[in-house]
Parts: sequence; structure tokens; C-alpha cells
Amino acid sequence: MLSTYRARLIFYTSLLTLFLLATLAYTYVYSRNAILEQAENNITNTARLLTGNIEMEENELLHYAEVIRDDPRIQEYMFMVTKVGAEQNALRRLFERNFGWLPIERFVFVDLNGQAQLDTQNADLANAVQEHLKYSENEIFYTQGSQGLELVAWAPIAYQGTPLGTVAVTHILNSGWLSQHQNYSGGHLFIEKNNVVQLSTLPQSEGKTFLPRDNTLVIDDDIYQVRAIPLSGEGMSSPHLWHGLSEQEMLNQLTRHSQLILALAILGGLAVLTMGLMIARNFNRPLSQLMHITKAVTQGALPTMGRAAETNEINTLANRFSEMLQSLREKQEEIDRVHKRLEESAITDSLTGLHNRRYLKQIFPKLFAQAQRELHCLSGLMLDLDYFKRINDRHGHLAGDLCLAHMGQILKESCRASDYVFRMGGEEFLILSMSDSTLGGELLAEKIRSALRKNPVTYKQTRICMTTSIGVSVADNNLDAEAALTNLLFQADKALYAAKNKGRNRVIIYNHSLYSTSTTQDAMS
Amino acid sequence: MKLVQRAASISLVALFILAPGPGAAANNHALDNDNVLMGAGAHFAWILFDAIKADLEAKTGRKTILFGQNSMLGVGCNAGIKAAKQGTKSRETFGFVCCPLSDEEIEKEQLIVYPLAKEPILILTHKDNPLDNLSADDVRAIFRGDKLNWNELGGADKPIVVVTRLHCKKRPGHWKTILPDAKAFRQERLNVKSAAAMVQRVSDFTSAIGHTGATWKFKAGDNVKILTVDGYKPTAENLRSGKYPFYRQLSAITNHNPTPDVVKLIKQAQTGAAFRKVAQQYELLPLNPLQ
Repeated sequence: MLSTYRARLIFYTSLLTLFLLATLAYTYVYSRNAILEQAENNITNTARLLTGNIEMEENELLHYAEVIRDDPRIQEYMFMVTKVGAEQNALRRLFERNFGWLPIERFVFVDLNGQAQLDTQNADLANAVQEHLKYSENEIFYTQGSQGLELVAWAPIAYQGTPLGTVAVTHILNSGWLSQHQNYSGGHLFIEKNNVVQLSTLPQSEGKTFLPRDNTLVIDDDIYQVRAIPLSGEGMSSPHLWHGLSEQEMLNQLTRHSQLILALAILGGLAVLTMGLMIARNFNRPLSQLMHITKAVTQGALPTMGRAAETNEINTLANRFSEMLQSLREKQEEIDRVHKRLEESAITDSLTGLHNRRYLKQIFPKLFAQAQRELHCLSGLMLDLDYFKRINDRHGHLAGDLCLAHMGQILKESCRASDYVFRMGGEEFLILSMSDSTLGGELLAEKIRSALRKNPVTYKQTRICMTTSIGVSVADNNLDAEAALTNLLFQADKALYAAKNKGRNRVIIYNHSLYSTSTTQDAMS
Repeated sequence: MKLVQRAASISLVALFILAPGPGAAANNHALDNDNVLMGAGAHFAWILFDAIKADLEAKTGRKTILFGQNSMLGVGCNAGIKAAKQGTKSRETFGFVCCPLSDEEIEKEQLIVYPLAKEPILILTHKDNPLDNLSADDVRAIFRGDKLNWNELGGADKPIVVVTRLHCKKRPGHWKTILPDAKAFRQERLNVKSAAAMVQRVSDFTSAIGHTGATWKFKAGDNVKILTVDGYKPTAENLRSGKYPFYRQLSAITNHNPTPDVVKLIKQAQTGAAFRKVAQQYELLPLNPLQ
């Protein structure tokens, strides 16, 4: 089934394309689940990360409160302010001089009466601290202050063992804080209190109901996966922090992912097909061409092949094959030429250049068929050089050969192009001539006889005059070709014999009287 | 750029490591130059010593070094006593104390005291305090805690913040010219450990009151002012006349075997023209026994 390279190539390319598409389809299906699962893990991990970050932030703020608390000058000044009634400005100046660099938003000293001692604008903070201390000893808590949700760290302060009150510092959890943590986590952060969004990185959600069920929340027709971020000292009435991830965003991400996979599938498929086409172009096509040519060669043809740049093994092989074909063509042409020469020599008399008896047997059926078809007369002129033996004896064989060649030349010049002239052997010749009537042969014979007599041969400055006797007969169109030839030769020979007997240098037309004479003489002999 | 900074840092660290420390410097002076006389003591000595050092060296022909101001070694009266005790012929040292020593301590530590001068103890308040004068009784009442608000003294209605520096508690004189015992001072007070902290606290609280010696160099940013007491400024003359009641006694001290050069140096410090110039500048009342 895959016996050819072409079939294998198509099969392998198709297999590769299918594999690629199947892999991408598998990736798409499983990546969807993986993305959803990963999103689930991400939101949980992000919640943990945020929890850790916020714990660090809480501890850092508590550390600031403790640093302030443990400063002896602060203790002294606090003592003076709370116990002696000195003005708070001294405490503020000291605080600003020594702790103004601390990264905190608000600071308050709360005396034992719950009064804010450093800054009356922070009375709300002092109240929040007092409220917190009523039900909790946790050093960190959150409160909804005048400037928004605040992280508060507090520490009790004393001077030489005398309790003075509480020092509290805050960090405001505003939109900037949310954005900062959003950068770490992605998704959105919500500060919720009493089931209402107070602040969020998703502005349109602020003021809306926040009632998650099974960690799922719907805001503006968008579903969010949400996780609570535990805050230290969080009470039922305290604000709560939530981290949420939009399912729509996840789906958008999934859509982008699927589009990417689809694009990859198309590009991959195109790449594989292109590779297949390139392989077919560079490998299969020259191979197929070679196969066609070898097939033609086996059938006897020697087609031509163009040359290609030898950039690869296949092209080199094709070029070698082309060179081999060219060599074969040249050999074949030489063989044809030799064959033609052999063929011509086989049907040509070498001395006179006329056709020989073998060619007569080849050509006669065609001429005879033509005469039958066209209702023409095929005349046969049998010629014999008179006294040729005497010429040989007197002037030598070279002179004899010259006379025979001369006669051959006279015959060619006297005949039409459509006439055929044969040397039958020795000094005997035959002419086949097609004409409308029996008279044509007779006229031709007389023309030849006259031309020969008028054109002697000069051999070694000696003129040799020649004459010829000619017997003329007409082929019987009612016979078959072989019988017609035999009959024609027989009758022409009888007429020639009669011309010899009557004194030579003459033309005798065969008739039945000649036949009976010859028959009688044959019988007598 | 970072490489340059790093190289500079390494160089500085190397210099710091290779350079001799303050103690080593002192020892090297002693070893390399037998002419060095060394002293230590309370901060007033820096003021005094810086002013008269050239004069002392000219008179004695000896190089003199006082530890404390720059090296932070030998700061305070105890360091002065220690330096005085350590004096030998090969290591000629002396000390300064800002308060008179008790007879018991002089006997115990085997010291000789060379009184230099009386130094007024300044009564400080915040510069925004409208009062410029207090009676000695009021000062004592304030430090005792009998007066708690400035309005009791004709000032603003502000609670008084008392700042004290009750150093050298076992020695007589100095802050004890205000109140004789630390226990007599108001309990709700700020007690500081240096003159600098004293000035800082009084600067911070507009209702504060404190005290420090007259040889303290105030800075431009110090928000304090000096009160008169009973209408008298803290001057040498008012000390001599007994009109200004708060002072302390500055003295030089040696062990019982001071070298002649040390004695000569101290005598020069007690009576030299340079010393008298400093005394005039800081309203010190010289206690030259010859006078």
C-alpha cells in the first residue's frame, strides 16, 4: 500500500498533521481544565500570600508602636503631659524629632482616661483603641476610622513603673494600599463591612452588597471567586478583607488561550503541509520524473531531460541520468547510421550505385500494388550490355567495370525519378517503370538504347562504344505480386533473348509468340 | 561609581582599624613624649582648659592633654578623681571636679583639692515663659513641688515641668544649693543625665524650669532663658556678695604625690591671666587662695 515514496510521504505528512492537531486539541481541552484548576489554586495561594504579607505588615506596625513605647524620653514626656499636665506640644515636638520618620499614618497617646493626648484630631482613634481594649487584648486590630479602614497597633506605656496609657499607631488601608497589594496578587481586593463593599480595587463594586456563597460572589453580572483574608483582631462588626478573581477574566484568559492554540494549530498545519510540499517538490518530483524516463527507456525511447542545479543528491542523480541518456542517444544515432548504411549496401550495387536484385524483391510488391490500385502499367525492361565479354577480353576488367558504371549512369540519367533501376548481375540490368500504357516502357527502352550508343566510354584514351539489347514486358495486374514478378522477369528475359538473337542493339517487346518460342527452345534444350 | 565608593569605604575602614584608639593615643603620648601632662574631668574643664591650654603649656613647658570633650573618655567628676589618683612620676595626671568633695572622700581617695572658682548655677525656663525673675524661695518651692503652676508665681496658667540633673549626689554643694537632698525635689519631674539634655527638655516644654552651670555653651536653637534670682543675675560679683544663691565649686585635684610640673600647671590654672579671662567671660568667681 505504501510501496511508493510518494504514498509514504503523503502518509507521513498526514500522520504528522493529525498528530499535531491531536496534540493541540488535547492541549486545548486539558489546558482549559488546568487553567480553571490553576485559577482555583492561584486564588487560594494568593489569599495565603496576602495573609502573610498583611501579617508582616501588622507585626511591623506593632514593632513601631513598641519602639515608641520603649523610648525613655517619650515615657518622660508622656508622664509630664499626663501626670503634670504639661502641654502636648512638647510631646509632639519630641515625637516628630525622634519618630517623624516612621512610616505610619496616624499616632495617638491615649491616657488612662481614654483621652487622646497628642492630637485631638485623632480622638476617633483614641476611642477605637478604648473600645477595642474593652473586649480584646490583641495588640493589633482594624477599625473604620475617619480616614477609612485602619490597621492599628497599640502598646501600653509606663514611666518608671507608673502606667501612663497606651500608644497607638496606624496604617490606613486606602485605595493606594489596596492597589499595592493588588499588584502582588492580581484579581481584586474588597473591603467589606456589614455585607457592603466599603472599598475595592473594583470601583463599581463599592457600596454594593457583598454576600458570597460557596466562595462565589456576583457583582454586575460577573461571577467572582472570592477568599477571605483574615485580619488580626477581626470581629463580627469589623471590616473584612476579601480577595476575588473574576470568572469572566478567567474565561477571557481561556479564550485568549484557545485562540492562541487555534492559531498555533493553523500555523502548525500550514508548516507541516509546506514541509510536505517542499519535500514533494525537492524529492518526490525529480524521483517521479526519473521513474517516467526510465519507463520510457525500457520501452525503447530515449527522451531528453533538462539539467538541474546540483544542490542535492537527487538532482545530481538526475543529471547523471540525463548524461547517460544523452550518451545512449548518441550511440543509437550511430547505430542507426551504420544500420542505414548496411541496409543501403544490401540493396545497392557497389559498382554502379544501382539497386540490386534483393531490393527488387522488396520494392516490387509496393510498385505492383500501386499499379493495380491506379490501373497503371508496370513495365519491366531487361537490359544486357552487348559483347561485354569482348570488352573485358580486349580492354581488361577495369575497362569492363568502367563500362558497367557508365551504363549505370546512362540508365539513371535516362529514367524518371519514379523509375527503379536494378543491376541483376554481370552486364544485365532491369528497369521498372510505371506508365499509363504499355507504350511507356517501349519508349523508355528505346531512349536508353539510343543514349548508350551515342555515349561511348573513354578508357586510357580509347573510345569504347557500347550497345545494349532490351527486352520489355508489362506486369500482369491480375496476378499476385510474387507471380507477377516471376512472370515479368520471365517475359522480359524472353524478349531480351529475342533481341540478342536478332542481332543485338535493339528493343523487343514481349508477346506470346516469344513465349511459345522460348518454351519450344527450353523444351529442346 | 560604585567601585569608587566601595574603595573609599574600604579605605576609611582600613584607616579606622589601623588608627590608634583614644586610649592608645593617650598611651602613645605618654610613651613617646615624657613631657605630656594628662587630665580629665567634668565638662566645665573643657571650657576652661581649651582657653588656658596655650598659657599652661607656655608656663610649664609641657604638653598638656585633657580627655573628655572629643574622646568621650574621662567625662565627669568621677573620671577626674580617677585621673588624679592614677598620677605617677612617669604618668603625670590630674583631674577636675565640678563640685566640692567631702572630707571623707578626700581622705578615702587620698586627694589634694585645688579650688579654682565658683560657678553660678543658672535657673532656666523656656524663652516663652513671661517671668524673668524668681525669688530663691520660689525657685526652691518650685523644685520642691510646692508650686505647681506658673500662675501661682504670677505667670501663665501652666503646670510647671521640673527638670533636674541631680548628679554627684554624695558630694556637697552644687544643685544642693537649691535643695539639699534629692529626696526634697518634686517627684513628678524630669531627671536628665547631662547638661545638653537639660537644655533640650527646657526647650521642649514651655512651662519647664531647670538648672545648669554657667559654663554651658548655649546654641542658637535653644529655646531657653536665664532667670534672675531675687533680682540678681548669676554673676561672679553677685556670688562674691552672696546675693546670688545658687553655685557650685570647680576644683582641680591630684593625688598626694603630684609632680612639680602638675602642681605648677594647677597653680597656673588657678591664677593665670588666661584663667581670669575665662572666669570673666563665664562669670566664674576665682577661688585663688592667694587672694
